[in-house]
Amino acid sequence: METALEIQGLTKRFGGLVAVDNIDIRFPKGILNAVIGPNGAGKTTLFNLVTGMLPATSGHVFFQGEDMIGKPPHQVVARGLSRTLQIKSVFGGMSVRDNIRIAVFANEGVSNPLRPARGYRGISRRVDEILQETGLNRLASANAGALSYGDVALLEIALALANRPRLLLLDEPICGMSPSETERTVEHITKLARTIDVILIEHDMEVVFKIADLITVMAQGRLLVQGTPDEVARDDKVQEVYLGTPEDSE
Amino acid sequence: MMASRIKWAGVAIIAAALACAPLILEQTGNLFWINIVAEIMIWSLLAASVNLLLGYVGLLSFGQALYFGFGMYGVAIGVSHFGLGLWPAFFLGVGAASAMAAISGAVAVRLTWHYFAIITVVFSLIFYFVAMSAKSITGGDDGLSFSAPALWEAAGLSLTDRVTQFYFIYVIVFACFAVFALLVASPLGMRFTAVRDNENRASLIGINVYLTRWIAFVIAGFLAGVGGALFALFGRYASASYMFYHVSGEAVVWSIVGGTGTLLGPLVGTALLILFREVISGVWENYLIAVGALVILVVMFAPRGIVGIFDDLISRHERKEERTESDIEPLAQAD
Repeated sequence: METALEIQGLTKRFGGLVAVDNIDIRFPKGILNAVIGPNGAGKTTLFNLVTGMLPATSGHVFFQGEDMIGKPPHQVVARGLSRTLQIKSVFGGMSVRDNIRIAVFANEGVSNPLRPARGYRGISRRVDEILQETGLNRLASANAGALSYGDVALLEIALALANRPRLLLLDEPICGMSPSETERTVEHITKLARTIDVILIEHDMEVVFKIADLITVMAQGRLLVQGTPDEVARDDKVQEVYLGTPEDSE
Repeated sequence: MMASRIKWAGVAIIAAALACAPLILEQTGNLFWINIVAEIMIWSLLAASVNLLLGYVGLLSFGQALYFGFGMYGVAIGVSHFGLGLWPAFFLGVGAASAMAAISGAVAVRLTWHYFAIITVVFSLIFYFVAMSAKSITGGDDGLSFSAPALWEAAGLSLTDRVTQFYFIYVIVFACFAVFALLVASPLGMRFTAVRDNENRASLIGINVYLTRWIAFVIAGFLAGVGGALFALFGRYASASYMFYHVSGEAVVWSIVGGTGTLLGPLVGTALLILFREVISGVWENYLIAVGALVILVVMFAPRGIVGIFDDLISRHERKEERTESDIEPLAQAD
């Protein structure tokens, strides 16, 4: 199977704390990957290293044959690797439509600084497309700062899609959502995963085991297990990090 | 759509009022005020320079007077040392200011918040002292005086005529604000706003935050440079004292009082506070206390300044109209 993302010997130290400890992971292409692990396992740090938001202490991250380590976030995005954030954040002062518009523009290179942004037909069409795809068209003119948490998460995904990514990293996309929002978003993610590679960090085990094709389990900055949902569910080590060893429990 | 129409009507009214100002003031015998209005327009460019950074990119600069000073000295040195005509000297001043902004900006925009504010002050202090000590070039404490070159010799146009000078300044300031308006509505302007609103998110959608800030910084330097070049021609004089951070601070105040993040806020703020100074300072020498009180009131009760108050009123009105039109639909759609 081809590789969507390959991580080699990646390490991140914060002073004495080793958040990501010499990790090697291969995420295969064409399937929905999920990364799980208890709090502090280093999942979000891993995403931050991959996307250039944190400098790595050592190691490599290969995406389409190119090492992403040492590249600033905007260059990583430009190569087709997008992500959403665990703590959801969008451009609160703009409408939903303008949020997406700026994201589409950001990947269009240099534009005429004296031509109104609203005058670009092709861009507007792409914005409408994304609004349609993500189901945000009902909120197109709403202020992004006033959206519900679930809709902000959707908008984040919409922003990440604006540059037509080849690989999408989703950091707890359904965290804090109502059951109906969760259902809608999960459906959306599975649909997305059919056309682009997705790596998903998620705490909701029910969702992960339902939609993921391959689950990567991290604990204390290390790779614990990688396998199908069935394999992971039966794995003793996984049960240990999640439930504790029998001696620990009372 | 209504809101933008009202806003453009406001812009047109202000532009028309300024265009008529010298004629009316001449008729009523208030020649002195023609120069005050001209001075307001010039300083509004320095305030616009602050506004571009603070209101659109989210960077508070206390050093924009440095580029104003470069614009001034470019003109003064061009005329008195190199014997340049009006336009070459003007472009020398604006070019020098923009180049200086490009160089210092490359360092400054690596920082944000108070670090950025501090480094802009440091830059302007360095060049203030350099200008003060390089007496042979800058005239040091005394500054550099020159006689204004002809505006257009063949047509007999000269800056010595108050009204001609006024319209010369008016046209250039108008052009600068027009470019400013186009710029902030363009995709580049959207990038500015994105960087201001959410730097992290901006970089994650593929925006080079550093480059975007640098571009804004250079354009801000350009605006301040145009203001400085005009002010040198207006006063036939350049002085290091205009590079001091006091001057930058005043521009920050004008911009905030008028309304950052709005097109005409800087012009309104500059006009208000310069008129205030002209009127009150004659009667009460501690008038700055009143200015301080005014600034505090604005910051507390109208954080988006005077123009911001109008903007809010207009958009509130518009939203109310929208709501009455489509009240029922969103309720029906809610799940």
